[in-house]
Amino acid sequence: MSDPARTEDLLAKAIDGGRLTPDEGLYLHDEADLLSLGAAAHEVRMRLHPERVVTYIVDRNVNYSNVCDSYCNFCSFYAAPGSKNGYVLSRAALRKKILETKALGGEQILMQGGTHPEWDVEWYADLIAYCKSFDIHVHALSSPEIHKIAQVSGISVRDTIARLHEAGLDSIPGGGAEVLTDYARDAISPLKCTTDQWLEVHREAHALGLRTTATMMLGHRERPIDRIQHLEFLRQTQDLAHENAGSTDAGFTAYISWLFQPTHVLKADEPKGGAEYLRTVALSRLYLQNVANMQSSWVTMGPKIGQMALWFGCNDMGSTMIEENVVSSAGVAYRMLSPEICSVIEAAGFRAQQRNFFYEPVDARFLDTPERMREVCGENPRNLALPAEAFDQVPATVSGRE
Amino acid sequence: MSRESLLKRIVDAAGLGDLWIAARRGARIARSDLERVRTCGHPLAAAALADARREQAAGVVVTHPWTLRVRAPSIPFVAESAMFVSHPIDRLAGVPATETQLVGALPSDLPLGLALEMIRSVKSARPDVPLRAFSPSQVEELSITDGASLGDVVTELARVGLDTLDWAPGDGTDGAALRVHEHAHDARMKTVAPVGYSKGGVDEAFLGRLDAIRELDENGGGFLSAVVLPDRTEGASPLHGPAGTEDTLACALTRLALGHTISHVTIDAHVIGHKLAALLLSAGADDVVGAQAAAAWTTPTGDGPRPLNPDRMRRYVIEARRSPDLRDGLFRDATASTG
Repeated sequence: MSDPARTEDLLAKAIDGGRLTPDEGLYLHDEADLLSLGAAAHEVRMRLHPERVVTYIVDRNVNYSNVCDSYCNFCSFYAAPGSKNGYVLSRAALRKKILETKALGGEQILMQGGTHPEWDVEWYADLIAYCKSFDIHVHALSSPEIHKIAQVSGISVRDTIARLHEAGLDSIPGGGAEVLTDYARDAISPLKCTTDQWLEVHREAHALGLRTTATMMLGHRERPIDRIQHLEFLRQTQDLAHENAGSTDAGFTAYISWLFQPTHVLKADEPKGGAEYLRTVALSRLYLQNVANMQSSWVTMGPKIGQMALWFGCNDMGSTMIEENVVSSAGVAYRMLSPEICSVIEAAGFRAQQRNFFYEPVDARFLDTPERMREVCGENPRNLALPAEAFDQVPATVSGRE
Repeated sequence: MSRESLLKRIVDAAGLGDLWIAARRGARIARSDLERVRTCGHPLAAAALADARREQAAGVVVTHPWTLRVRAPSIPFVAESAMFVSHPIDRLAGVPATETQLVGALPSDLPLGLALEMIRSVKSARPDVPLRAFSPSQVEELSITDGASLGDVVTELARVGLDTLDWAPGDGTDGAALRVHEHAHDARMKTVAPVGYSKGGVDEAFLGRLDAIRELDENGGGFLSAVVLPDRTEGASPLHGPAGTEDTLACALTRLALGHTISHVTIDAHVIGHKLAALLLSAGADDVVGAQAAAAWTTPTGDGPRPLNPDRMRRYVIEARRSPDLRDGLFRDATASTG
């Protein structure tokens, strides 16, 4: 039963920095209206980031392989081990992708693949070391991959992360979280790591001083209570990271939620819409106030909703996604380059600032204006064809094995 | 702090608190006050004001038609896409719908006689539901081609059975469209007012166009709704098409400017995107167009873009915490018929 007075109290509590309990979060999820959630989330965002700046990063999603034995029933990207559709990127292909990213002013690569039944930690350490040799931030290997690597290698999760970090791993992405309850995971990815195992990877990474990101993929088989439980687990994990580090400059740097795109075994499911996405974004901002940054998912939602999310609690437009394979394999194909992202941010009333992984400002370069983008792409921003001179701008620190 | 008081606080902070009561009462809002909303710099404040007015007028109801898209006879038709399904004229029977819409790339030199024949054919095949066809710019082209006055063209279209005019992205960005609508109203045709804008175009001139629409309606009625029409569709680059904040502000201003005289504000989900459309149901809109009728979808709905069918439309409306209600092409309560 809706109780306007309770809604009133809970939104006020969150705006003032109070911690919502799971019951309170669930109540707001079910009962609060969209604009009120958005307005409250925006107040929290402005308290955390009063400078009216919206950040973005230039990076590339590199999928080093699609071979995976998790067989998630929502995924249209993977190929089973032994499948003729499986691939592993060559070093030459990796090199080209990384150089293109740097030529476009990129700061990092986000590199993920699948859970492979045979590759051990040294295989991955070799891969990471090669990428790191290009002097780029390597944000790579999601929790399910790291858990699998530990399993195949017969070592602990902590030792796995330590070895990868030694090889050049800079940070760990939040992929593979989907929704962190066993109910939801059993429904869509029963063979992938459990909720506890996903969280363990992030706890161990935080303990080793690595920063990570957190995600939620919503809109599949999860219930509202699963979304709230997911947020609660993330908040607890962040609390622990802060407590252990004695600082809030530890743990998750950011949280990103996006909508599940029904394909594959779940193709009969109906995708959720813009209202459901914005409601969850706003509630996440209210609930997860110990995670500093919240990204808008324009890749799945499009530039328009991606922009409006900046008024529903988000302070970051995420990545330019020079390349994206996983979501696009599910039929979603929104693309934006830096000038387009800046245009969206500024039209929303904020100042655009390119950043690095740690949310430190960096200078935009190469595709830094619409005019430059027109020179490179013509009238169609999707026709990105890098001229040879673009590669001249790459710092000459490239080494590594071919 | 109730829902109203939180949103009222946002509205107050944007310097618009004095408009809150007027918005909730459905009073006529002065041009100077609309200018304050336009320049307030807070899209949620503008949305909250417009939503208060929408709620006063429509409660939780969101209306939507079930549109049977009909290929214009004798007109070459571009290949079907997964997003749009249309029917040749001899296959309209048996398809549930509450309105028909004539679609296809009509040539700019289409003779009026052929246009009239198209209407007769569609109405003959589906007399049970209203027909929406010919945007104002197409009516102008018919007028030029045949050397007939706008009034004569619209009167002829209405005489053979056209129920209401159509619209296209960008319609209504100049005064010409309104002249066509005025002639349509003179011919006793009810229409949907196009509220057009381009990137950076939710400006003073935009308010001027809203002024013109409301003056026309106040002086005789004739508009069933006002449709918010960016000049580029959702997929356009943000460097060229309006931003989501502009769409939100345009929708809110449309409700605030017209709410006292025109009952509905319509969103075309095919133009603005169904995801943003769901948000605009909290920014003054109470009507969504885009649910397509089809006996069978021409493209499997497994992977890739999915057509917006009535079930999906209803689900998005419910996700937005509204109650979907089927209407026909003239905004009358309806149940889908099969002809």
